[in-house]
Amino acid sequence: MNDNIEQKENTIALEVHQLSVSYDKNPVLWDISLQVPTGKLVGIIGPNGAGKSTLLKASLGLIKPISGKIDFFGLPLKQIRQRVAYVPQRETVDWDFPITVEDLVLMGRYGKLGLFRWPRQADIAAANHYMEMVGISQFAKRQISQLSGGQQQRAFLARALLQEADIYFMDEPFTGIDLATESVIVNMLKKLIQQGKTVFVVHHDLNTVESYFDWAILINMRLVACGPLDEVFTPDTLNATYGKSFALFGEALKLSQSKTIGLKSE
Amino acid sequence: MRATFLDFFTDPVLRGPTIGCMLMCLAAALCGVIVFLRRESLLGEALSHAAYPGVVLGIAAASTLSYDDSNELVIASFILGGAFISALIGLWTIGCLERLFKVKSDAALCFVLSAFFGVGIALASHIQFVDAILFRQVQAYLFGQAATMGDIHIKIYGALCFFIAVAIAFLYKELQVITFDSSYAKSLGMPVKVINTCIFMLIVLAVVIGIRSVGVVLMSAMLIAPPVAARQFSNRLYVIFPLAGFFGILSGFLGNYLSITASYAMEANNPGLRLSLPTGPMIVMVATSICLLALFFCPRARTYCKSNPDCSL
Repeated sequence: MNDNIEQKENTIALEVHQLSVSYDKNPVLWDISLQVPTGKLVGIIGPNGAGKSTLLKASLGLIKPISGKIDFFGLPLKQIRQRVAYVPQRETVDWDFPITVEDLVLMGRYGKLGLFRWPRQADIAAANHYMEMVGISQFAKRQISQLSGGQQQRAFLARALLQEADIYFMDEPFTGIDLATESVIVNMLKKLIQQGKTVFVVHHDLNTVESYFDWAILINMRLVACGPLDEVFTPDTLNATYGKSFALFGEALKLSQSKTIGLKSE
Repeated sequence: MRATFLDFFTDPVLRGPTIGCMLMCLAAALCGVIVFLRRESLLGEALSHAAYPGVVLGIAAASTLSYDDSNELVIASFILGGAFISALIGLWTIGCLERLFKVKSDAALCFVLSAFFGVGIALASHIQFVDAILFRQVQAYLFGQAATMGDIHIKIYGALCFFIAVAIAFLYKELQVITFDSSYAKSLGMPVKVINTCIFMLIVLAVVIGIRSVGVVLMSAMLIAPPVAARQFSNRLYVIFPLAGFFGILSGFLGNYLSITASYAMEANNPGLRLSLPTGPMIVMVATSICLLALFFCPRARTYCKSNPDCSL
């Protein structure tokens, strides 16, 4: 009996129960209930304004939901805060801030260190290790504004890796970065999954969903589907998520591309 | 009479304003770094103006309790206390306007700035007809009156300044993360709200210390000018803090030095005319000059322009 409970705790990484979130009086998420097992690379997919980032922020306790309960490994966030890492959207911070890449990455340790304690040699060594892993160690002493968009995203990833968490939340890590960085990040995430970690990624590009993820959460204010990718990533669910617009999506893309062909060269 | 460099630290009349101003500028510059990096530069302006009614009430309260000028410590603490409380009420009002009534931050700041300052002026002009001596004291806080500061101020400001410096040193790690990305700090499990409250307390404290020497109206320059200058020289937060502090101390000293030596020189050259340069505005002018020089000649702007062909500088 005890074994059973423990097993259940270990296999369910995230459990959301009847979660509703609203900004002022506008509901953003409505009655979301889902379960995600450990060791999955989860894509959170939906149109703009569907509440993808909100789901992420509510899970991290950054937004207070109007109702609902969120558990990690069967425990509330408060008890396992240090096992959850967050990679915010790159645009949300001021990259002109006067710190070096190393300082930025070291922030990943601040949660574990607690108040009034300074990073020690071991923390700095670990930071260097992860910077090397994502290929930005040569920029360690640079100011963060001197990085390209892709390098900034890698620095964010290194910071999250330094947290050495079990669950990672990433908010649109693939927007506005180069292909090399995208493949570095994807490989990194796949490595994490092999170690039994769980990674949630808010994702936009439907074309790459199938090659990156093995689990998907489709939302548009309400939960459309949550499950293994091959089961839930179907034309039906996509239609339900994106509504009528999805049917026209490919066509609109083609049209807009052909329309701008002449304009771009000018 | 000519004052030498050393006189500014030993002479019983000169050392009060000089050391007092240097301490006040140090406190303001350190807190200013936080305000500047949080992009809340207008906050200092709003808080210093919001402190003014507290100053007026503090002086009035001290005098009705019949403490006279000889009891400087009591009067100073009444004024500091009044200013502190009044600035806190201002801060709270800004928060309420933003959160409850969805007023935009800049509008809320301007509203509090002018409303509180207006109340302060109204109170002061009432006092004008009741007690003329009191009114002179109240007026001194408008543009500052460093010259009348004494040894007691050195002690009070020294203690407050030490407290601010120690608090910033201890909270450095948290300050860095929260200022850079407060939601990330929250996701790390940092007590963001508590630390933010501490930060605001420190800023209010620095403003309250500062209005005695540079005055309510000019206070925000002392918060912003040293950090802006320091930012031009370094990309490291741990360098910017001491450097801004140094620029603050430097402006505090030079402001006093120039104010006194230039006043003597002008009086010597134009006997009969009564000329004097007030200390508070001189400090602000020195600080802004340092800032301007840094902006024009700093290494950062030059390398930036070299590396960036689109830069118009």
